[in-house]
Amino acid sequence: MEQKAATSRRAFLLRKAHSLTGIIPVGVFLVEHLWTNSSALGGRAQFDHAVDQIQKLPALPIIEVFGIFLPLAFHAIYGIKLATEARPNPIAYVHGRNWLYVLQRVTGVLTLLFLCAHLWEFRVQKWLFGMTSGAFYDTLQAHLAATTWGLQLYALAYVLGLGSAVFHFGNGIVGFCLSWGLVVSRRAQRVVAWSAAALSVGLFLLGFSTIVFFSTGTRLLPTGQSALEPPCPESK
Amino acid sequence: MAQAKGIRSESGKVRRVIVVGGGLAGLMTVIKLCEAGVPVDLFSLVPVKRSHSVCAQGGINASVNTKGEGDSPRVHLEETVYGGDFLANQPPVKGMADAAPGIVYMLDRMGVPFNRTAEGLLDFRRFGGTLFHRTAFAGATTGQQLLYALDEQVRRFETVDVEDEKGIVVKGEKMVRKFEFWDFVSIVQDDTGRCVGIVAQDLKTMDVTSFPADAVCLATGGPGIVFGRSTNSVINTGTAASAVYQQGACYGNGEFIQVHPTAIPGADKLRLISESARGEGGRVWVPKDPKERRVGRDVPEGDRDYFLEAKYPGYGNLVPRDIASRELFLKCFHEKKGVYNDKTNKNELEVYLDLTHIQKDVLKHKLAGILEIYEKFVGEDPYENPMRVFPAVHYSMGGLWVDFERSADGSLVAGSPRNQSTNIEGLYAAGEVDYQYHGANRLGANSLLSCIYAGMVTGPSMATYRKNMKTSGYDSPKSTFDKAEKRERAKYTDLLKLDGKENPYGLHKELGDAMLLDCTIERHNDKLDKVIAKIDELEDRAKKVNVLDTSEHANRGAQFVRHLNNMLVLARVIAQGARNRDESRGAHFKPAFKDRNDKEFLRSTLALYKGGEKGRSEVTYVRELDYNLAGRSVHVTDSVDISLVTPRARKYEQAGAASAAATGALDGKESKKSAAATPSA
Amino acid sequence: MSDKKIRLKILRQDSPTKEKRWEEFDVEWHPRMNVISALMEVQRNPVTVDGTKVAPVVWESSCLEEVCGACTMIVNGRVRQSCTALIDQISPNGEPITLAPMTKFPLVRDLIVDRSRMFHDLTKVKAWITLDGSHELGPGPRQAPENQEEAYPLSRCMTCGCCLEACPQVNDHSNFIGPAAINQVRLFNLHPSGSMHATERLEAVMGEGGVADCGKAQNCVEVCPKEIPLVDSIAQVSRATTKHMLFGWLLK
Repeated sequence: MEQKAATSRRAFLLRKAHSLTGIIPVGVFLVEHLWTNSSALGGRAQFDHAVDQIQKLPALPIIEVFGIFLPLAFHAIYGIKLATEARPNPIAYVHGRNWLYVLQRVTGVLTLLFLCAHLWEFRVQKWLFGMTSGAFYDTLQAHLAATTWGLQLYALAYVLGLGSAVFHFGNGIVGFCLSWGLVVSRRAQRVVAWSAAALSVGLFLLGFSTIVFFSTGTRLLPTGQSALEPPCPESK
Repeated sequence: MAQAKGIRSESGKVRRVIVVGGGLAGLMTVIKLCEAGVPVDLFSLVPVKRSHSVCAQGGINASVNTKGEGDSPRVHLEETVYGGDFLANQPPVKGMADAAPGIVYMLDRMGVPFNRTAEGLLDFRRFGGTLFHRTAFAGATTGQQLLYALDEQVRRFETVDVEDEKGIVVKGEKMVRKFEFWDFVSIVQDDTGRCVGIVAQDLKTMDVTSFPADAVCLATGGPGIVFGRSTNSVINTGTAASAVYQQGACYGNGEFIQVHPTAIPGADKLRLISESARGEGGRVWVPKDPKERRVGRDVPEGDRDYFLEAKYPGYGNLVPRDIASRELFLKCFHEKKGVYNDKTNKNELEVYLDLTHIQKDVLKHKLAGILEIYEKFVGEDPYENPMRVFPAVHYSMGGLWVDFERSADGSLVAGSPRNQSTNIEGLYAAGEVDYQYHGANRLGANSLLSCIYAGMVTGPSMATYRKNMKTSGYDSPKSTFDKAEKRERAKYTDLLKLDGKENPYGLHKELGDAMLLDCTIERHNDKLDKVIAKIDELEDRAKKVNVLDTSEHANRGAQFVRHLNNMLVLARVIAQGARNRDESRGAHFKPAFKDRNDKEFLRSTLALYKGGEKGRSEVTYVRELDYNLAGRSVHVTDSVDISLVTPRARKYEQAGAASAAATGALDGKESKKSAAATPSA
Repeated sequence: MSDKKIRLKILRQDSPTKEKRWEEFDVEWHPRMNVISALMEVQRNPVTVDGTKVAPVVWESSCLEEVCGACTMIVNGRVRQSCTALIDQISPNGEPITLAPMTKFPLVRDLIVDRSRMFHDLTKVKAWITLDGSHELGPGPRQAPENQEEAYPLSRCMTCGCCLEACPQVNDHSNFIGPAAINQVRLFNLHPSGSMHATERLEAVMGEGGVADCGKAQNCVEVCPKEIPLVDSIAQVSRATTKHMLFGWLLK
C-alpha cells in the first residue's frame, strides 16, 4: 500500500517539476539569453562585454550543467513523453485553446530541434573544438547573414526557433499558473493569458530585432546604449 | 423450528437480497438494507445515474414550516389524501408526511445542493394542491440531484465489506454488487410460490441467468411508455411490473394515470415543464380571442383569459394536476381556444404558460433547468416569450398492490414485513411501481418523497422478513432456479425466431396512439371498449412480429418485443380498470359519470392476471386477497383505510379547502371528528 | 405530409470484434424532429437507402431531455447529446447527418459504448459524503446561498462522457481520469461535511493520470452540455493539490 502510494506520487511530482522547470530555470534563462543577445543592438563591444560578464561568473560550468542543462534536458525529455501521449483533435473541436494545446506540443518539439542545432553551433564548438566566446559575434553574424539559394535560411530558422521558444514559454506560463493553481477564477485566467501573450510578443520582438540586426544590420529597436557606443563597424 | 441464520446460506454463499431498479426508491431501499447489515445485489436496466428519477424537476415536499405558515405533517397528510380524492390508504400517507422533514434533512446531509435562504436554511416553494411553501428544491433539477445523492451513498456501499454476524469481514464480498444493463425478466418462485430470486438478462452478452435472493424488491418505476409518448424516459415500459403481475402479483388502481398539464409536445417524447414554474408565479392563459394573431408577449393583459385563476380563485394556477389538465383539455379540445397558429391556420392544442412577468435572475436561480429544456427543444426564449404547453401522460398512481401494517397511532408499524410486501411472499415493491401513496391523483413534489419514503419502509421490512425466514432463498433446490432459467431462456430463443410481418415498434406506436387518445384525460365507455378491442388486436398481431434483430450481442430488438408484450398486458389492466370504474375520481374522469361515487367505488382496484383464450391476456378483478407471509396467511380487502381524514368533496375553488380539517376550518361535527384523528379500527 | 427526407449516415459495428461499416438511411422529416426520433423512424423501417433490410440501429437513451446523460454520440463529427440535436438545426438544408459512437470508450454495438470507467472513477475519487447513517439526525450544515450557487452547477454533471471524448489527453496512451471526476472532487470538497475528507479526494487525483495530466486544451468546457465550469474546477483542484503537495507531502 505504502509502496503503491509512493509510486503513484511520482507521476504527479514529475508533472509539477516539468511545469516548474519550464519557467524556472528554463524560461528565466530564455529571457536572460534574449536580453543578453539583444545587447548586440548596442554594438559589438557591448555584446562582447555582456558575454564576458557571463563568462566571468564564478562556477559557471556548475551553473550551466545543474542550473540550465539538466533542468532543460529533463523538461525536454519528459515533454517529449507527454507530447507522445497526446491525441490532438483541433479539426473536430475548433477552439482557440485547443489550437494552443496543439501548438504547445509542436513548438516544444521545434524548440528542442532548434536548441540542439543552436547548441551544436556554439556550445559544442566551444567545449570540444575550442571556439572562444569572443568568436560568438562573428559566427552569429556570418551564419545569420549567409544565404542559401538566395534565401537566408539560417536566419529564417532562427526566427522560427525564436517564435517557437517564446510561444512555448508564454503559453507555458498560462499552463504553469493553472497547473500550480496560481490562478483559479475566470478573471485571473484571462489576465494571466493576456499578460503571457504580451510577454511572448515582447520577447519575440526583442529576439527578432536581434536576429534582424545580425542578418541585415538593421536596428528595429532603438537601444539606449547605441547613442553612446560607436555603431557596429562591420554592419553592412 | 429451524431458522435461516447468519450471513451465509447452508451452501456457504453470502445471503443477499435483490433490488431491481436504481431510481430513488431502489437506491433508498439499498441504503436501508445495507445499514441493516443486509448485502444487496442491485439490478438496473441502465446505469443507475440514468434512471428516470433524474427527470423530476420541481422538488420534494416536507412540511418543515420554515416560512411560519403553520404547515405541519398533519396538513400535508390531509392535502395529499384530499388531492388524491381519498383513494389512498391513509396510514402509509401519514407515515410519509411525518417522515418527510427528516427525509429532506437527510438529503441535505447527503450534500444535495438545495436552494438556500439568506439565513442559510433550506428554501421552500409552493406546489400544486396546497397553499403552503412545502417544496424543497435544487434549482429545477431536484430529481437529478436527489438521485445523485443516493447513488453516491450506494456507491460508497459498493466499497464496504460484508461482515458476518460476529463482525468479521467476509473476504471479497462487498455490501452492494451492481448489475447495470441487465433486464429483469421474471422472479423465481419455489414450490410454495415464494419469491426466491430473479431471472435477468445481460444486455451485452444476452445471457439469461437466474440469481438467488432471500427477498426481492421491485423498484422499477411506472409504465408511461405504454402511452407511446409521455414525459417518461424511454425505459419506463413497466415491463418488470407486468412480468410479476403475470406471475401472480396483484396490480392495484391501474386505471389511475396522471396527466401533467404542462409539457412541451415533441416527436419522440413530451418534455415536462415542471409545476414549479407555476409554484414560482407562472400563470396559465389563452387569448380571449380564439383568432388572436399576435404572439403571446404582445397580447395585452385585458385580452388574456387566465382561465385557471378565474375558475379556481382559491388555488389558481396551482390546482392539482388532474383538474388543471382537464381545464386545459377543455379549453383546447372542446372550446377550441388553444393558441392560434398562423401557419396551420388552426387553434393548436397549446396554452400559454407565462413567466415573463418574473425577474430574470429569480427565474435563472430557481427554474433554469426547465427553461433550458424549453429553450433547447423549442428554440424560443422563455424569459421573453410565454411558453406554449399542453398536457402529457406523466405518472401512474396505480401499480403493484402492496400491503401495510397499521400502527396504533394510525401510521405504519416500523419494520413490519407486511409493509410494501406484494401478495407474493418475498416480493416487495417500492416507488412509482407500487400503488400506495397517491390515491386517485398525486400532488406535485410528492413523488420524490413517496419514492424515498417507500424505500425507507421497504428496506427495514425486507430485513425483518429475511431475519425471520425459515429457509434462505439461497437454500432452495437448484432445480427451482434451473427450471426458471430454462423457461426464460426458451422464451428468449423463441423471440429470436419471430419472423412475421409486423414491426414491433410500429405496434407500439399504435398501442400508444390508442391509449393516449381514449384512456387519459377523458374516458368514455364506448371508446374504452374500442381501446380494449384494439389491445386484443395488437396482442394477436404481436404474435406475428418480426424480431428484426437476431444478433447474439447487445440485441435490442428481441428485448423490445418482450417489453412490448408486457406493455400490452399492462395496457389492458389500465383500460379495463378504467372501463369498470363508472365514476369520476381524481385523474379518472368520465363525463358520463361526473361525480365521485364513494358508495360503490371508494375501493382499490385489485387486478389479477389470467391467461385468456387465443393466447390473449385477461384480467380478473377481485375484492379480497389472501397471501402468505412468513408462515401465516394475511387477508386483505379492497376497502380503503380512511381512518384519519374523512372523505369529503374536493373544492379547490375555495382557498384552504384542502387543509380545512387540519386547520380547523371545517364546520361542525365533521371537523372535530377528522381533526381528532382517532383511529377508527 | 411533407416529402422532405433526412439522410442519416451511421457508423455501425455489430460487436467489438466485428468490422466497422457505414450505413445510410432516409427517414421522413417531421416537425420538432431530433436525432433520436430519426433513429426511432429507422427502427420502424430498418431499410438502408439501397433497399437492404438490416437490423435496426441500436443506441443508448433514457430521459430524452438532457438530464440523464445516456444518449451521447458523435453527431456530425462532434460529441454531444443526441436528444438535443434537433434536425432543423444540425441539417438546416437537408445535409446528411453522420452518427458515430464515442471513441474513447470500449464499443458495445453500433452507437452504444461502455462508459463504466466513469463510474469507477467516481468511486476512485470518493465522490460522496461519508454519512453516519440515513436515520434522523436533524438538518444538515447551514450553507450560504453563494455556496449552493457554486455547488449546484457542478452537481449537474450527468456522467455523459462528452468531456472525456473531446479531451486530447484522454486516450488509450494515457490514463488521465478526465474532467468529470476532477469536478466531483471540487464539488465534494466544497461541502461543509464533504470537506472533512478533502485530503482523501485530493490524494486520489494526485496519482498516475490525476489532475496534473490536464493539458489545458479546454475542450471539456466547450462540449459540456450542462455548461459546467470544468476548467475552473480543474484549476481549483490544482490549487488544492499543489497546497497539499507543498504542505502535506514535502514540508510535513
